[in-house]
Amino acid sequence: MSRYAEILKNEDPRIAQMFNVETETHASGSALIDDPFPGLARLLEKAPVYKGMAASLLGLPENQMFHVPSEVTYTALSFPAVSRALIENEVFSSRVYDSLPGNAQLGGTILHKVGLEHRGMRDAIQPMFSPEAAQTWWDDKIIAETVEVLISKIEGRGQADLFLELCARMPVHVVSAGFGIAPDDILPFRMALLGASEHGERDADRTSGMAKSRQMMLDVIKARRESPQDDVISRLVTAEVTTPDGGKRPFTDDEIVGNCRLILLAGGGTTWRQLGITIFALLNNPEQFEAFKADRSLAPRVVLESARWHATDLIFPRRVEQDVTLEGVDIPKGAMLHMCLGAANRDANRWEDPDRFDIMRPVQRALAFGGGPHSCLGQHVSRQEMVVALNAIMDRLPNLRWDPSKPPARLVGGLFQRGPSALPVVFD
Amino acid sequence: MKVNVSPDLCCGAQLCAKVAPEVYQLDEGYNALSGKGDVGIPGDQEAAAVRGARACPESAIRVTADDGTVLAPLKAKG
Repeated sequence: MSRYAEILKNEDPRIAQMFNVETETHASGSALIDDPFPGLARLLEKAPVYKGMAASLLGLPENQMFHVPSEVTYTALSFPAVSRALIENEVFSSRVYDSLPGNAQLGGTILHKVGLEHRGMRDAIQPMFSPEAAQTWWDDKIIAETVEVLISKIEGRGQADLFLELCARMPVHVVSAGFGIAPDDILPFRMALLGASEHGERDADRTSGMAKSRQMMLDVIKARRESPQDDVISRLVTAEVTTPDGGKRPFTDDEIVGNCRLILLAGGGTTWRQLGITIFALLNNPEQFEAFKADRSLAPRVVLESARWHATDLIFPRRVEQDVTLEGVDIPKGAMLHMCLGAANRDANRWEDPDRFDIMRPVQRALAFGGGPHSCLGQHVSRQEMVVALNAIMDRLPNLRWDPSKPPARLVGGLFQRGPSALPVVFD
Repeated sequence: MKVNVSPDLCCGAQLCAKVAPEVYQLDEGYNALSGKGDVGIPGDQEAAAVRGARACPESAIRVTADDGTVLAPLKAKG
C-alpha cells in the first residue's frame, strides 16, 4: 500500500481543527447567520441588482470578506445579471482580487488575470483538469483509492460523522496527491495555507504561513525540475504560457507557487462542503435518496442539483471597469460588484419551485461553478470526487440514515461560505 | 456528423474555440453555433469537433456521428 493510502488510515486531530465551517466563517471575518435564502429571494423579487452589500441589504452585520470599506459595492442577484458579469470579464474584471486582503497574498494567479494574459496562463493549466482527465487520470490514480480507503474505515462500524471522516478528508488528499505534495506534508501544507489566507489572522501568522507554504512548494518544484514524476507540478514546470503577443515562455517559480496555492486552497476547501451539502440534502429528502439509489446514473445530476440548490460559496467579487448598465441598474466605473451565485441559482424566473432540491429537474446551467473565462478550473475533478464518494456511500453503507442520538445536522456559515455542521449517520 | 450547441448550457468559457478553432468560433464570447440547432460538420473535422466538445465545462456541445452514435460529451463514469 502506498504511503498516500497509509496516512488516510490514521485518525488525525488536525482534520477536525481545519475543517469546521463555523470556525472558518469566524476566521474570514463574517458573522454566522441562519438560512440566507429567504432574505435573498425577497430582495430578488424586487430588483435584480442593488447598490450595497447583501449583508447590509438583509440587515445583517457587515462582513470583511471581499469588502473594502472605502469602496462602493453593488450586488447582483438575478441569473441574467450574475451570468453576464461572469462572462464579460473585461467589463466585470477579476483584477478586483489584487486589492482584496487575503487573496492578494496568494500572488499572481489565474484568478486575478483578465483577457489574453489570463487565457495564455489558464490554457497551460487547463488540460490537467479537463473532463477526461478527471475521469481517467485523477480517478484512476487517486480518487478511487482515496474513497476506497476512507469508506473501508467507516463500513462495518454502524455509525460515522461523514462530514469529517469522508467529506473533509477526501478532497484535500486528492488535490494534494495529484499535485505531488508528499503524503506527510498534506496537512501541514494546508495549515500553512489557511494561516496565510485568513482575514482574521494576525499579520505575523499570515506572514509565517505564506513563507512556510512557499518554501514547501519551492522544494517540490525543485525536486520535480530535477526528476519529473507523474503529477501536476511536474507538468507545470514544463508547461508553456502563451504571452499576449503570441510568444511562449515557461512558468516562473513564483507563478507556480501562486497558482498551486490557489488551486490547493480551493480544491481542499470547497468540495468537502459541497459533498456534505449533497449528503445533507439527500438524507433530508428520502424519496430522492431512494430514486438515486435505484438509478446510479443520476449521480452527476445529483451533484449539479446540490450545487444549484446550495452552492458552498454564495458570493464572488468583480471590479467594474467602465460605466455600465446591468439589468437596468447603472453602475459607475471603479465600483465593486458582488455576484450572488446563491440567489441567482434560485432565480424563480429560471427554475420552478427553486427552493426545492430536486434531482429530477430538467438540466439547466446553474452558476455554482461560475461561468465565462474564469469558470471553475477544478470543477470536473471536484464533480468526479463527489460522484465516486456518493456511489461508495450507496454501495457500502446500507440503510443509511441520520443518527437519532446526535443533534440534527444543520447548514451553517455566513453569507459567503456555508456547509454542514456535521453529518452524523447510522447504517446497517 | 452533426454538432449541436445548447444556448442554455453554453457559458462562455471559450475552451471549445481554444482547443478546436477549426470547428468552433466565438460570437460575443459564446460558441457561434449556440442555438443554431444541428449543424453538419465535414467528416475530416470529427476529431477536432469531439476534442472541442469534450473540453466544454458545461457539456453544452453534443457531437453525433452519422450512424447516431453520440461522440461527445463524455459519458459520466461512476
